[in-house]
Amino acid sequence: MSSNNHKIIFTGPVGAGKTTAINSISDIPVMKTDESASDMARSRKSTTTVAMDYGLLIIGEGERIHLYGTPGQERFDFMWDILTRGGLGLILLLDNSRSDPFKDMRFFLDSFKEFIDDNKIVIGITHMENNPEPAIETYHQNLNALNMNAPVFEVDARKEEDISTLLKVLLYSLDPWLGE
Amino acid sequence: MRSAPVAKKSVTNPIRVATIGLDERSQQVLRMAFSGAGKGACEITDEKNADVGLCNMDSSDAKTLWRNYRKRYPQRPTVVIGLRNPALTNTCYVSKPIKVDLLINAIKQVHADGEPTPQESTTPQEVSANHSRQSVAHMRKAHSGNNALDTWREDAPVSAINWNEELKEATVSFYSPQEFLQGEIHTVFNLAGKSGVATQLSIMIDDRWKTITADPVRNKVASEIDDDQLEKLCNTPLFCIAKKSNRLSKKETELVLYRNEETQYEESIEQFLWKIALWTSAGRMPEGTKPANPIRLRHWPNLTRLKQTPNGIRIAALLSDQPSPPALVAKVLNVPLQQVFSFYAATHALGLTASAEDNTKITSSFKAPAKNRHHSLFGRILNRLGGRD
Repeated sequence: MSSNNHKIIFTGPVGAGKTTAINSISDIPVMKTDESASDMARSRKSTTTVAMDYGLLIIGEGERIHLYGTPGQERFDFMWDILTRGGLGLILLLDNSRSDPFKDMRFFLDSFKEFIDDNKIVIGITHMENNPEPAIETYHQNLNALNMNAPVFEVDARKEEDISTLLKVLLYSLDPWLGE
Repeated sequence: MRSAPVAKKSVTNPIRVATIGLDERSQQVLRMAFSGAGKGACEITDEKNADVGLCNMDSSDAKTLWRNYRKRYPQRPTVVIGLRNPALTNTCYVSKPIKVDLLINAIKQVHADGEPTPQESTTPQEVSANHSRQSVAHMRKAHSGNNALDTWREDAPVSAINWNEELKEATVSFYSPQEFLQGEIHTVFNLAGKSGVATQLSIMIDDRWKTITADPVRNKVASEIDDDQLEKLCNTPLFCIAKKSNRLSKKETELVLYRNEETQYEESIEQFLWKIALWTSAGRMPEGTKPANPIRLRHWPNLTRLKQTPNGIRIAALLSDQPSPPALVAKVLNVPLQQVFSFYAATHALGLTASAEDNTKITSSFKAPAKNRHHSLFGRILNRLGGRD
């Protein structure tokens, strides 16, 4: 990864809104690698990301931040390590309408453990407008049980403001000196 | 407020203004306003040497202060400020939230006349409610320079700093939530939470009861009072507010919460308590907390759904990393201490923070965060995302 090309990774289970979130802030139309869902993902959406989603934040002078969305299906987890290399930080999106979002959370935290140890993570909870339970507080309780104190926010992946806030929190967590 | 004529007296010498019932913080705001927007037309001075009096009629002991002041200076030209017109004869009234140019014009006017002007009413509605936010912003700005707090550098040995001494030089104001609407709202909401029954707080506004209903089951607040009115109420001493509370039956709750009237504002209990605390605090610490002691943030507030507070993300990021005293947070982040106090007040209202008793261990072990090697890149990303926190 060249010095003026960095990346931020969006991860989470199928249907959590990774593609939508990237689309909310990307300066280019999101490049998708969807195909018809053929396994458990089919019950949640008709197509699913099989390689990755790709968007771009152009911050001037030819400098770009690549936005990568990991495939949500576990059978593609071999790609996640490759995708995260050189990443600035991780945004984990969890779908509050799923049967056990905490299981999802633990799975992804474990899968990206090394990356999180070296970087920072911000968690966004989607689909809360129609599924208010479990509450954000319960996510914090589950994180505490894992000795983690990650930021957790309710988000609507369609709203640029929400996804932008996730990114800001990620950046300020990585460097509180920002904003001087 | 009638439009003020041009001052007849010398404009080269500032008009000397003595304040009555204004705390040091508010006086600092005025100083800044006088030297900024006022272009040096007025200055704060002691009562003995003043040309004009400026009396805050919303202070807790306003009536007594006013009586005593008028005994000492029965003829002094005086401007009174307040949320409501106190209808005092021989004064010029300026309603809160204060618009600086109106206030300065009023001071110039009473001074130029050399005697009090006839009482004129300015209803609070005449001053646009959005200026109240501006007032708070002024306060924050006025406190951005806090003597020794400004001189700290990244490489300064944090453990060598005596925070109690630092704070002596800073301006720290306290407030008691119980003396404002915030305390009443917490009492009513706690009652609702414990009983599991929706509870309603009614407040008299313009001769009409307007309600705030909290439903603990749905985590919902429905308010007939808009934000501008609420913000004003938050700065009004509780004893000035006519109020009553009562529990609602299930049927009444359904009727209140699902009538979908346009005049009703709905949000979660957390959202409501957060903004009420921010407005009430206005840069002050809740009484009972010690600014020199570290703040412990239990977890991040749900910032995507809460009213923004200046530098809130940065303050949360630092506090979630390690407990720190407000003065230390302000110094490390180079933000006004009052912004840290406001953040603390809001998170405290949601039960997310606690002020620890002992600051010795934590301040001595505090590690100032390092600048990230991508610092400048992150700054550019922030700019692309639409500005800083």
